[in-house]
Amino acid sequence: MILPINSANNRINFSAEKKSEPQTTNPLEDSVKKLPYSHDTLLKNNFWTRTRIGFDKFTNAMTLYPAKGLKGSRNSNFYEFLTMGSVPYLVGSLMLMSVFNTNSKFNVFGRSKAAPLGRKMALGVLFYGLAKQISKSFISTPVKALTGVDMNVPYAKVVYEHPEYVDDSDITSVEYHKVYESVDFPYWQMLYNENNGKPRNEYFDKIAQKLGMGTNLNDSDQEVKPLIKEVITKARAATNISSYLWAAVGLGVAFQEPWDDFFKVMTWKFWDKQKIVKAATTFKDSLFDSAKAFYHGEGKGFTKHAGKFLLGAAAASTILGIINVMNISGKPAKMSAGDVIDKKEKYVVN
Amino acid sequence: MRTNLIQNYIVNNNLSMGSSQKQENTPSFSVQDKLYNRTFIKPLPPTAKLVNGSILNAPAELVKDWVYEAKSFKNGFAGKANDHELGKLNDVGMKLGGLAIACYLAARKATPLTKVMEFVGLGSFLGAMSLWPKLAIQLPAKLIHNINTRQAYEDSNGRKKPFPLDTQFLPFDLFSDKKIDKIGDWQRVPKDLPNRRDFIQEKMRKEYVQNNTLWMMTAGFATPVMSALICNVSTPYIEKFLANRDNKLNEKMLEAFPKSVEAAKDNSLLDRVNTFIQFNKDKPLNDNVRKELSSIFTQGINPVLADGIELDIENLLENKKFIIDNSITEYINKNITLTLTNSIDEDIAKQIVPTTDQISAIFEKGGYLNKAYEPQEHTKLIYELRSALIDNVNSFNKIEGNPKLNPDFIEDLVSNVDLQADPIKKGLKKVPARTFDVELQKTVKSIAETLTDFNAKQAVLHRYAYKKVAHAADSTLAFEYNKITGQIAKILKIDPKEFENMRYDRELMNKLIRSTFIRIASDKQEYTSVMTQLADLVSGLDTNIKDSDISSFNKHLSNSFSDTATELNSSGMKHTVDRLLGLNPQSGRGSYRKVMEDFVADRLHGVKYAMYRLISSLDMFRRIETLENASVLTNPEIPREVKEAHLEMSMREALQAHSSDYAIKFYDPRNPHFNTQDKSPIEFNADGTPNYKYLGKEKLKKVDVPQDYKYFQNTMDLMHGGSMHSETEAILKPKNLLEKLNDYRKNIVEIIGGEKYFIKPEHIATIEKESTSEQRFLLSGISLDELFTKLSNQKYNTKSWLKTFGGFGAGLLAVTVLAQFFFGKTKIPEYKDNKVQKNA
Repeated sequence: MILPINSANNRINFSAEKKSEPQTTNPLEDSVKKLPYSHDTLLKNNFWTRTRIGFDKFTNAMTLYPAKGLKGSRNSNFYEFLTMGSVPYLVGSLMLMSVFNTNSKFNVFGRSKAAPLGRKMALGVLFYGLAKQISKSFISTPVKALTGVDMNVPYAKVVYEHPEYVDDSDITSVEYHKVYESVDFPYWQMLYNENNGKPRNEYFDKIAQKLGMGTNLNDSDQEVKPLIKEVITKARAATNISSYLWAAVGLGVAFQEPWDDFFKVMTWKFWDKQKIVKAATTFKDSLFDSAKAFYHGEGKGFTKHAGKFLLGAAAASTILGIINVMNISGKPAKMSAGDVIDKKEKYVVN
Repeated sequence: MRTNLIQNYIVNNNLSMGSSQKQENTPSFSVQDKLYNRTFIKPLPPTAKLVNGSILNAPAELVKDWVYEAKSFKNGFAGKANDHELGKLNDVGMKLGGLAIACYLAARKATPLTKVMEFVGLGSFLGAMSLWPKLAIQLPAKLIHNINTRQAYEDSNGRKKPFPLDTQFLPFDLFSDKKIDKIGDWQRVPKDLPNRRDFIQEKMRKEYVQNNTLWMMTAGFATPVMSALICNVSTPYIEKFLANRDNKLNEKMLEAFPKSVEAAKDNSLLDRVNTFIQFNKDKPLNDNVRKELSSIFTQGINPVLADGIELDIENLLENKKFIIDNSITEYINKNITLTLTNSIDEDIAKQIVPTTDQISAIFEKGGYLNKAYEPQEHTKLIYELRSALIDNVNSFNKIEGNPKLNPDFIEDLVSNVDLQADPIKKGLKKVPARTFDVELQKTVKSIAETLTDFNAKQAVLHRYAYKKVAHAADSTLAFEYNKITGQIAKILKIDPKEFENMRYDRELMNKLIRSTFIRIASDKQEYTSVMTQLADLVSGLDTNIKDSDISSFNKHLSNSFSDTATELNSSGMKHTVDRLLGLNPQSGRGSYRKVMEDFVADRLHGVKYAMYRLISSLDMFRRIETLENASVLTNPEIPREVKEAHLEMSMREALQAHSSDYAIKFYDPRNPHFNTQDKSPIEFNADGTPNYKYLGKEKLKKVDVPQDYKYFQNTMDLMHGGSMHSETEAILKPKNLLEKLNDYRKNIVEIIGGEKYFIKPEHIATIEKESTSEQRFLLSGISLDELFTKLSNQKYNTKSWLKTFGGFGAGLLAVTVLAQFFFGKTKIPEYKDNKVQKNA
């Protein structure tokens, strides 16, 4: 169904408006949702932004997106589906804890030692997710330092949705994406300076300089873009492999015996300060001891060193990945455009 | 007709097919050719298709996927991959990570059960993760809406993707009209609806979105519950498999004892001793050498044994003689100075202490130099050295202006009976005459070899004993015990509901077992059936833990100890041998060997006697019900009232008594003025319960009757004395249990019955017999009401757990399926204009 983008009767402007902009006197317009962004905006990749985005995504994944999805809304999109993907991790971990932690009431698992195993699995699911997420920075941070390309630079995308009904004025929403989330179609536009008095290609100039292509290039963006693509592709390929190996390390650490100490004092009673402090300190000790136990192992031969091998594999995949990223193949030599096109050959532009 | 610009271009430039054909080796793609044929200006026809998800097609798809993944890997690392390939690489990473986890868990040191459970746990978790969307989403969606929520398609570039992944981009073109119509028909979309295909597609889109969301919302709850249910259901089977496998491996380990010992050998002690020998060879045997060697031998060893080893090493490296040479002169000088400075000025002390030259001269003059002496041969030398000191004091006193020193006082200062406190005696013992010579090196090495061998044998035997009988979840004995006790309630046909209800109260449980036992014992057919099943269960224990296993273990144990003792004896390690074999090697009392032997025997007895008590108690009930082999109850001399008391006490104690009850609480308050005239036989009601004529009929002041010293003996006799019931004997005999049961009952009468009954010391059943509390504890096994209360609790817990989480799982599944009936609801548009083209 095609709906008018502007309802003349209500004089409602559908475009996204910034909160700080002056309000009209129309009460109907005041009731319209005000977004923090009026257009796609590049964000700074810092701790505060990441936390804010994470919180926004998490709350939406628990509330708004499922509501839209279950209604079958035509605005429920792939971004929302992916964002909801974090829910099973968290719910699953909590659920595992409760399934195996009902010992006081049902002593079923006492005999088969399933209770400690179940709790370790719960911790394992959590650590798997955490290690997978955190380890991504093991590649992105050095890559950023060495090339200037930040794989995770975020931007806020203002999305214009289909109206759900005829008078629906709430048709804008904000999604948080990353400029380089697609290697096929990076959102280059975000990286140019527009109307702020700074050189338009500032971002690309910096990267060109970092990659040793010199300064003062005529078209630094055109020269650097293929290289950025290569860096991103290689780095993402390495991350996709290494993050799962780090996740395995996380799970391995969660499966160590010292955690039993923590599970003995673990509590959900957040109001009981004494118990919480005790649980927190024990968690810290157990984590430290478990990491040690994971590294040192027991027994002899492969059994003893399995933890070291796993850690080694994860570290090696990360380091090799970074080396591969730095080995940029297609650095263009400085040549004039005239040399690039051989006039004797035939070309088809497609 | 519009002008075709491309045609004009071709005509104006005089291009023709001919010009391109003239060139040799032209690529198959020719711009001119395409332009001429006008195919180039149209988009290429799409080649996307839905993936056939049938099982027959799966292998081909799998191979295709692998090839694609390999290509993605190559492109990814060359920096040429596209988004889809990078996504595939993510799948590769996930598989690699899974493989890494599997390898790590397989390599981890853990008990086999824990290891397998880790695999089952993770496996069931991953299984549940992929099963849930298939079972709760895909299947109902197919049945309710006839759509496949896990349909895959391949785009024109050969990239495989799940169809409903991005619900704002659903390539419906891939569905034929027929297929879409079929789905519409299933969903009861009116056949005459204008733009029917669009309407159905919109409905499908909605369903895909809703199903995707439902999947994400429910997976977190469903996966752990499903995984736990899978674990719970599969655990008994895994336990059984592992227990049998472990038992076989364990038996093989003992069968090939020398080989197992060789494999268990840890040469670290030998290595440490060799290093020690290398470092200390031919050095004098001073205290440090002794201490170091002791610590090498005792590292990580049982402290009792370690004490013995320490003493033996001390003796082995003992020094008897010490060398007098010039290297000790300075040491003696310093020692004396140090002792004197405690009482007099250091300056003065330095002036009177014999100089190194003086001391050296004394050694030379007396002919002591470079000779070895025992400490008792030092007397003359000590006197000479002290004299030198006194001479110095006298000389010092003669010098004018010096303070006057008392020579006797000075002599007292440097004289002490304690070797360590006397500076001169201590000094003379500085250089031991004995060195760590070749002979000693050989002995030490041989001890290390013996102990290495012994440790390896111990490791094998410990492991065997542990796996066979230890109080651990994965021992054969624990498995057998759980297997047997798990079936008892079923064999006794106790009502499960009633059984669970009694779990909080042992008194109530006691009543339930008593009525069950009476029910069984009063019916011959039921008794035979139940006793046969119980006997089968208990004899099963003997198949997995054979008597020959235990005797073989004891033989290896005894041999390894005596071999080691012989070797150690020849090296002079007498204290160690004492600790290994005990002071009386024949009985082994108080020895390390006996501890190990008894550990196995006691564990076995503990479990076997618990089972024997069950059989023996049921037999007693049968004897009472039939009045066969129950002489106490049929004895015409015993008054009826006393018989009734005997009967009641026997039934109660058979089910309830603990070992401590026999020792201190075994007293039975009853009527002291019982009717001595009525000697009629015991009677029973139709349901088998005793029909008491006296017991509990009158409210009397009850007391224990110490004069009736035969009362306790008679009760013991009714419970465990004489023969078992003839029916029981007929059942037990072919299963080789009769003799064991009779031995057990005899032991009870002798050991528990013969125990000093200290409240009434004269009231012992037979002759007094010495026994340990451990023996009495083992003999009394587990009291039946306690055993049944534990079983009932366990059963209730398992059931409640299953009910709670099974219920939760079932509820979640129901909600997930039911929700789908409300999916895809789309209002059918009303068309006012009838002229709209119908496409259906």
